[in-house]
Amino acid sequence: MTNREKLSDLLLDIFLLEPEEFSFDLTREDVETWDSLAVVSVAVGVKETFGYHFTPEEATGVVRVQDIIDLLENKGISFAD
Amino acid sequence: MSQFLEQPPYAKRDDAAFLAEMNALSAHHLNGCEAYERIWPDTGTVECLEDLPWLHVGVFKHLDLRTAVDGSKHVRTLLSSATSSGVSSRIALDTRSSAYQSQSTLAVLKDFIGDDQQPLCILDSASALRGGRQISARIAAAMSLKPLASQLYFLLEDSNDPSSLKWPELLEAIDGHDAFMVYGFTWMLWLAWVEQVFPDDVVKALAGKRITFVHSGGWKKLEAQKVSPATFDAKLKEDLDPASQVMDFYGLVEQVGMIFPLCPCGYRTAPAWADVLVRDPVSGACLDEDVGQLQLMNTISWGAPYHNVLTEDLGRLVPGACSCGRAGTVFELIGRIPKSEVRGCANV
Repeated sequence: MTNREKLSDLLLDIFLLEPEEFSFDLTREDVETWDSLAVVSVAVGVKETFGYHFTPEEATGVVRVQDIIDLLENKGISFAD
Repeated sequence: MSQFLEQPPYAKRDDAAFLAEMNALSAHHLNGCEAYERIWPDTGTVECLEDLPWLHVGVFKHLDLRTAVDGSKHVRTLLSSATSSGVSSRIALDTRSSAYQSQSTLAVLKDFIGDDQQPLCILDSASALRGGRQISARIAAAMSLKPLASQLYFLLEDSNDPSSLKWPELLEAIDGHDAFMVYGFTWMLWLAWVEQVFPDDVVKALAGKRITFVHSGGWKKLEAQKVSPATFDAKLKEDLDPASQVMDFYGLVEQVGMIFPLCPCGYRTAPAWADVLVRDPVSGACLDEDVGQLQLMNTISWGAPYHNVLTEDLGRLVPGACSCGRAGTVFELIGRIPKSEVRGCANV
């Protein structure tokens, strides 16, 4: 499974989306269930899936799916696959 | 927005302004929640807190109450702990109240344990975060501490198994930190943290650390162990930094956002945006000092009429101000009404 697939699976589960509703362009405004609980779930899910622990600032600063990818790529986790 | 959220939680407040906010909130729910209006038809402004319309906690097990007004958005449902009847209360959470509820719990927590950000270890499993649109009472309580957390660590593999502690996760939380917080339901904290034999490397890593233990949910599930609060606190703090502390707070999902920590005097004080009445369980009359049924009210619940709730918990009002210096209505929580359902709230 590629890192993009791992991330999309994680976010589908957290945001309660159907696969056809998901895209890597999603923003917090697009997703009704992207609330404060989802912010925590994303941080915890990222740690479990990719082994990186977001700082509180990073976790709350994520407003686009692309932000998660950017943060992880900066930590050496590639999404080029 | 409640004007009271903008002031310190235990500052003296304008009681007339509080009554006015409660009247306005009741009118909001009567206008926006048909079921509530059916229960309290023809209700107008009242002159004292005891005359405000209220709901018994049991109503939330049977009715899906929500107040719909322009712009309101209910995203998730908060579920109470499992009860002996197997039916949970369901509280519809709206985005507006959620913001107030976070503000409320944070202000109270800061007053009791300060505002230092520390790693927060939660005695629950990370999978409990993924309950779809439903949130468990335990996760909701743990999340109230989140603003004080620099990192979150979910310590259990299985939410209901105290022996499923993840030692590497705990060691990671301890590593490099002299102080951190641990949250769990009262029974879980005892069973997972005190009754378990910790591996030697964990015992060594924990020695001398300053831990703030925060627990809620009540003592009923520990009846068999016959654990007194003093023993509970002493056991938790054994071999730790003497500045370690234990905070026991009372709260229920039907009053989400409201937490009532136990102060050193053994009492609890309602913050400025909340109040407490005690009613005779038979006559319903309000009691000044006698033991009766606790009724909790607040000005921060806009998404459904859980702003004024008669609980199944017993308590009494304590006259005057508490010696701890906090202003507000002071009360003592005594326990559950006999034969009421056992669950994780005030099963003292």
